[in-house]
Amino acid sequence: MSRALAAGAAAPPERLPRCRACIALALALAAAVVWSFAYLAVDYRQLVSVESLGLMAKFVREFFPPDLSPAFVAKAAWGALETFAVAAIGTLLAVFGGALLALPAAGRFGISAALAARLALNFLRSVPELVWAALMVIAAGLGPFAGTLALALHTTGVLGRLYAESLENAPGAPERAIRDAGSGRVAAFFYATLPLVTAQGVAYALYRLEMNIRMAAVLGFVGAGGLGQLLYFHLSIFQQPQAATLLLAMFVLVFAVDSLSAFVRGRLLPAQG
Amino acid sequence: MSATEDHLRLADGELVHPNGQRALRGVSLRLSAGERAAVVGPSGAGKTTLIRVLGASLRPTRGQLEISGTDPWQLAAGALRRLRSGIGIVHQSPPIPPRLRVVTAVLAGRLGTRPAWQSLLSLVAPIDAEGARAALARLDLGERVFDRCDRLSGGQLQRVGIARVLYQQPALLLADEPVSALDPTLADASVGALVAESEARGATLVASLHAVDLALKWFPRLIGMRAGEIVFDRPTAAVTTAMLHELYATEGRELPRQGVDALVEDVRPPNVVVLKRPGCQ
Amino acid sequence: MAAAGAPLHDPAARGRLTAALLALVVLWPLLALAEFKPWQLFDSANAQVMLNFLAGFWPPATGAEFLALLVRATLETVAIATAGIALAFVVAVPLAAVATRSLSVGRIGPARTRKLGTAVRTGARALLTFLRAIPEIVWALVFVRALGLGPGAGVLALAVTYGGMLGKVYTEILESGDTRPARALLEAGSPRVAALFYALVPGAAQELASYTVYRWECAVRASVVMGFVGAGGLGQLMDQSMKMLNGGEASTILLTFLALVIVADALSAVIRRVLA
Repeated sequence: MSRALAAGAAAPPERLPRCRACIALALALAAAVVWSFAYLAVDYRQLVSVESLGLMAKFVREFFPPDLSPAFVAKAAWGALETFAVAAIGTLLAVFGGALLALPAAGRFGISAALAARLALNFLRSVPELVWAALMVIAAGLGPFAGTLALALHTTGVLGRLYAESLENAPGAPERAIRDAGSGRVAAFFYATLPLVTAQGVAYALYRLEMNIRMAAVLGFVGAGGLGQLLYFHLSIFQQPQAATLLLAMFVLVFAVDSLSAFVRGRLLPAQG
Repeated sequence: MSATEDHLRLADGELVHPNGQRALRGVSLRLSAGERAAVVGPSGAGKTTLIRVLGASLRPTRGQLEISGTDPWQLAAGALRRLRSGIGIVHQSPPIPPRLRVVTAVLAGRLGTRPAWQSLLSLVAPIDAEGARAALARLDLGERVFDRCDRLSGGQLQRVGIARVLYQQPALLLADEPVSALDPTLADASVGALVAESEARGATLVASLHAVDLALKWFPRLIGMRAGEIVFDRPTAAVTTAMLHELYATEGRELPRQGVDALVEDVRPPNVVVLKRPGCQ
Repeated sequence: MAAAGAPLHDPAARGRLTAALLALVVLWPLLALAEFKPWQLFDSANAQVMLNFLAGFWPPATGAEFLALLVRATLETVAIATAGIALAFVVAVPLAAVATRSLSVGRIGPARTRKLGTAVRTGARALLTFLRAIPEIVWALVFVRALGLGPGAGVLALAVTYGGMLGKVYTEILESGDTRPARALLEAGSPRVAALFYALVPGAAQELASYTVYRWECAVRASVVMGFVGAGGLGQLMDQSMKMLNGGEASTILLTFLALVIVADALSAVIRRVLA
């Protein structure tokens, strides 16, 4: 007994902390994982059989070399420009939409307006961009306009909420001071509160632009134009080399926009007013 | 002098903060048009609160305020706005957004007199840069008119706050420790500019000052405050050193003077851009 | 003082004018590329179709057969998310263990393996970045083409992209805590796996688990989105309903999705509170 104690006293390695709830949770999670795989009933043996692995390998091999003929590269470039336009216009619309809804959401027009605005923003945000795109394709037809609307709607929800929080957190002293000197509410807002939140607002908008470029690329899968629509089409007819070029174009586009966004954010904003 | 000739009248003003702290107790005050008075007293005496109550910026919990015979708190919104465009308050820590340019910060003084569209246009292309520059020049800041406010020192920003009120040309000038961040020479000149403005246009001026020497030099009337109450309200000539020592509880030591007894914290508002990155990306 | 009467010139005026003109010059072609024609929304044919579709939103479809499909699809979405995260975890852990500096032997004192270690770590990080770079729905589309329609494509797509995301964050978590116990074990010659499980994981377990559960919540949303390219679940059901312009079914599915997101949100919050 004493020898075991002495051995134990020689700095045993730390054990994972024991807590009843954690263990019960871990077991529940493990059960959930097992159930998931069982429910999906994916035939994994068939998936990893020599035959299907061979098929997969063949499928992947056909991506190389990508189709770099001038005609197709031009097509891909055009698709990239279209995708960029969708993301840029969509984000721009969302900045205005979000700013517009942020004012009531921050409580500037009373409680009921605030609740209504917040509900609207939550709804806009919760529906994924792709679902919006599928809906907009019905409303506006196939093509990049549907994608632009979809991004505008979803991003309005995101930016609106962020802008509302910025407005609520902005100090109220500058606006109070201006109103104490007889200014109207509109002028006071633009002179005193807006300059406080603009830098942050632009930073958020640029961050969303980076996200939206990635989203704009895939909205094409439901017919909203751009690189996504081209990729979907070429993969449907199993033209992997063209698909590879389009994927490369997506890479380049995302990288370019990320760099541009970082550049603008680095120089942030010049003076207001 | 009858009550109807008073420009400014506060009767039994009391202010109790929501947390129960009493900032003003039974304060009564009368000023005629064009009169100049300095409010002195130790920190926490309620000088700032008094200035804000007199300027219809803070509503007293009890008592009545009358500006030119009307109670501002009984006015409709439009009339209150018009009244307020005739009241200029200089803050100790000017609440000016850091990214604003000096010219716009000064032009903001006349927002009450311009239509909204003109004010908004002025944000893009300043509508009266020359007028702003003239106001700044009286505080020796003329050449900084197009600079960004966050490039100014605390003292320069304080002077911009004064310039804004000078540009406003109000009938009632109120100043809350307007020169706390300035060295003695500049402080003297700046108070002088306020007094000159009051003399030139017959505007009533009430300034709270921590530095007793400035108050004694520039103002013919001294109001001593302590713990939310007015301790004395006399012509300056009738105020003795003993009264001042008793007010500041500085028996045997020196009374507060500009630049010597510095209570200058950084008066500039912080310029922070905080970014959250929520979401599933 | 400046000479009175000298006209005052705003130094920012020129820059502002140029910026405004530039913005207009850039905006015009962008609007054209995006085919921005808001009046198209009110074009009679389109508007009629949309109005009919929207009119179908109420009442939401509640037929027994459809509801059974709905329940199956919802369960399928949850299963895809859970299985996907589980696989992503399996992908992320070894990559994070390789990529983290906290388990580097080469950085402790002089070592021949230092350059090699750095190269391997950089390679692991590059792999993690690559996995993250392509949106999961693109992977889903590729897997659907390669393996056929169904949830398998969604699970694999999640495994890849979320593996990259989890791996990156795991690496950071492992480096952000107290790394001295791990270092002590490595200095004493302990194998890296032991150092990982005995010294790094105990301290970081709560944060690792918390982030994983948060990612599961995102995976639920992603699973619905991937369904639109054929990876099963609620998304595939909704895609089918919308292609048939069945407003009633679409609105039911949308409501179910919103409810699912709220439930997943709440569940995730509860679990993360228990872990804390």
